[in-house]
Amino acid sequence: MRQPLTGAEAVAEAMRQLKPDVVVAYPITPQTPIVEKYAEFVADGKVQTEMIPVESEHSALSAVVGASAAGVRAMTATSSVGLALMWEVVNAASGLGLPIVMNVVNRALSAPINIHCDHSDSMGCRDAGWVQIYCENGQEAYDFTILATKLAESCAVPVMVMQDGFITSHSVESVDFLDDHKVEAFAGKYRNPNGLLGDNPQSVGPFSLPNSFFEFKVRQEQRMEKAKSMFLSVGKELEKLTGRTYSFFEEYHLKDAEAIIVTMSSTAGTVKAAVDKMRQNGKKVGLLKLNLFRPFPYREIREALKHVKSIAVLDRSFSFGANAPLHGEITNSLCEIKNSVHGTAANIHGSVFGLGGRDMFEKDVENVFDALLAGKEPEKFIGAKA
Amino acid sequence: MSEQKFTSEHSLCQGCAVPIVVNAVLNSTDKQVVVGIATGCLEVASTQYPGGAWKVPYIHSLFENIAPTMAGVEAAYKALRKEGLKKELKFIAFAGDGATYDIGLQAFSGVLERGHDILYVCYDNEGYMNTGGQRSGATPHGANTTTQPAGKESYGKTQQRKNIMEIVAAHNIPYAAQASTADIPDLMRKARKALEMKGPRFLNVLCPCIANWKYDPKETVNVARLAVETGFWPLYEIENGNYIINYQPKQRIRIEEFLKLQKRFAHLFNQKNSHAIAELQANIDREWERLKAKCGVSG
Amino acid sequence: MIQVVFHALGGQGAKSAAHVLAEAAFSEGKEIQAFPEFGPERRGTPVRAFVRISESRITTHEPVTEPDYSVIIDPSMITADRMKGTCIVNSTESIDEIRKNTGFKGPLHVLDALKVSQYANLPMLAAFVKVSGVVRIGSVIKHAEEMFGDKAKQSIDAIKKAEGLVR
Repeated sequence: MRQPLTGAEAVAEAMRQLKPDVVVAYPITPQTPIVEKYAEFVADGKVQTEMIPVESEHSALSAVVGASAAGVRAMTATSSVGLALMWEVVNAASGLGLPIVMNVVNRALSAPINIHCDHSDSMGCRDAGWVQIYCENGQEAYDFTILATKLAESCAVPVMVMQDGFITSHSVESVDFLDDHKVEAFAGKYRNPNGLLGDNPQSVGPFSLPNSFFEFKVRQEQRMEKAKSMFLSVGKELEKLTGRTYSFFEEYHLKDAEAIIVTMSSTAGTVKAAVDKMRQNGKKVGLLKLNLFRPFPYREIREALKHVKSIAVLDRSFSFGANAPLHGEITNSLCEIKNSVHGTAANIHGSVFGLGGRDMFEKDVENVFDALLAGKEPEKFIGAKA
Repeated sequence: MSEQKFTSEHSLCQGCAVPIVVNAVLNSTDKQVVVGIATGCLEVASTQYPGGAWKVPYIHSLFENIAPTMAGVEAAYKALRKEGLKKELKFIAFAGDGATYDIGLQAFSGVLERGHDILYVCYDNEGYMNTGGQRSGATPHGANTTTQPAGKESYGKTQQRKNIMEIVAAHNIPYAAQASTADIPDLMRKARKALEMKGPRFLNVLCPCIANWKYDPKETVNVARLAVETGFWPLYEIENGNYIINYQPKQRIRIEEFLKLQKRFAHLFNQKNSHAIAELQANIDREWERLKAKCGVSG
Repeated sequence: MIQVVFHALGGQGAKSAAHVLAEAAFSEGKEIQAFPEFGPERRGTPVRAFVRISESRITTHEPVTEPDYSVIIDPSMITADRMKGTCIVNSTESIDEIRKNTGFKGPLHVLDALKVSQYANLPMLAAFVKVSGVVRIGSVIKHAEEMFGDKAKQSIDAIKKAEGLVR
């Protein structure tokens, strides 16, 4: 069934259909509409959930960890400094192998304080051992929240699902929803027999000395690696229900492109519009829109980009003092490759855009492509007045 | 009194009493002040770059940490005084109830326990108002908020308000007081008294919120006054452990009179939810008796 | 693709108007996108709400800078910088007076929304629909009804009245 909803509402709807046993809520702009919508569902009896309105994000994720460790399905949502406040618990959650799904509505980290979109929040914990999925629009946010739940519970890895603050979360677009019973059948019920409240309860979070800690972490890394292939197989199952495909990334006019942009989230949509316009004028440009940022699909990216001469990677956050996150990973993917068509290594340029909600226009995208096609370097800080 | 320390260059809602509270507190001292502001209505509306309402130095950091942030400022002051800094400064933190009762409670407690020289002013509008009216520990029983809404199977907030004054009192700080926008002279007297003392001092000021309590702006004064007259918001002080009630209504007005002016309580007047009004009244009665009993204890 | 911007002060319902328009267009089988421009939540400050309506999929997420229609809900916001494309404004003044005050020379329509209702946003939306023909007024009425519950009747009356009054 298709409905016009905001990205936040779409995610709240997915959550309702997934029937989490526990949802813990703390407000922060621009994630708040998700937990408000969900609270409304609970207050009206539309879903049976123990909902805890906590007093901080640190407590929010702590409570979700508790519920998940107890062996039930538990969820929360946050943004920006809320995610930063949770950071200690974010690491604990993945260390404990808990299948938590958290929606992150991307907003800039302080300071200074800013309530608008950039990716500094989720990028800030990219090493924490959570699967990270970035969504272009409300449809993807809905689909990936459902996919994430099954993925998390299959692999014992927590999953973060990102959508752009305001641009996606507060924007009404048409979203295709599955019937309740289809989502219920797909996600099933989650009960961990080894959870604290299960039939065979295990203790959670022991003290581990140097003689045991490393192996815990290796097993954690192995869980992440498994999540990469599971992402595709769970995606295939979801495709049977929705008719939409779920891959690590989307290739848009990539095959014969001479210049391509690699980016994520809502900006990918703007790039698509620019690509369409430029293709009409005969320019061979394309887009690689990445959905799965963690685990990072190095091999698959390499395969997809090995024929491209010029690449601009657009990041919506800095990694201060280093290559921006996506730029760094794309460079990692292609570092040893000699371009299979052109015989030389690709030119990979990194640009940062959109920090703190600074707008990105189709014109900016066209400028990037024009620079690449002319063999020049695109603007390093797109749209900044520095 | 010289120039304004907090000007009108802010974007707080028309009819919001927080600017009055801020000015009342700032004008209660002639000494130089350094201000700390927690994220919330006041901060977001008064610090927007490149302008802002503050003509005194301020720091804003995050949501939950204005207390320890100011503790750091105060510690730096102590270090500089030892080195010979002569000027006398007063440290004042402003924070909403969200920052004080909830997310910042742990950090706030630490500052109270360690005895830092800070006046902490909580402007209590009973919820997370800057972000659109979500519930906090200060939200009253039965109130409709967006994260604990009234609905077919819910009457709103099921818990009673957190008693922050008792939590603060348990730290045995020199001075804590409740004040209200209904009585600004009383607020100023308390601020003046507090600012002349040393150690941690706490002012909890009730600030009705037009946008989220949802009352007719014409009723602004009435709403604030009724909060006091019903006993919902007692005006009292705790000075070195001695409780002093500043105003005792001869006959406390029934809480319905306060509730019926605000749409956030409208659903309580449905038969099936009316038990919440009785529960709220019972809690007010109970707390009032406890408060009176405490005044009988001398320090 | 049609791009519309609604100008109002916070609390005047620009977002609701945009939402109703988007729902109406969606129900007529169009692709839509509707989003507000947000500063930190504050009543009484200028806000904009945008709507895109298209026959084909909308992928872009860039801001609307060259709207086809500008709907100005608060009379104090009728300023030259806001008048782009075809303008539909809420004013007691005449079209000529407005042109004189703003220097705007493009297509201009006026509705005295206060004559219709104390809430200007739906009358202004109705005026926009009448002028642009982008959606049917019936779709707008249907969705206003759904969205505004018990206030629906007043809303619908306002919409119908406004349709007739826009100049």
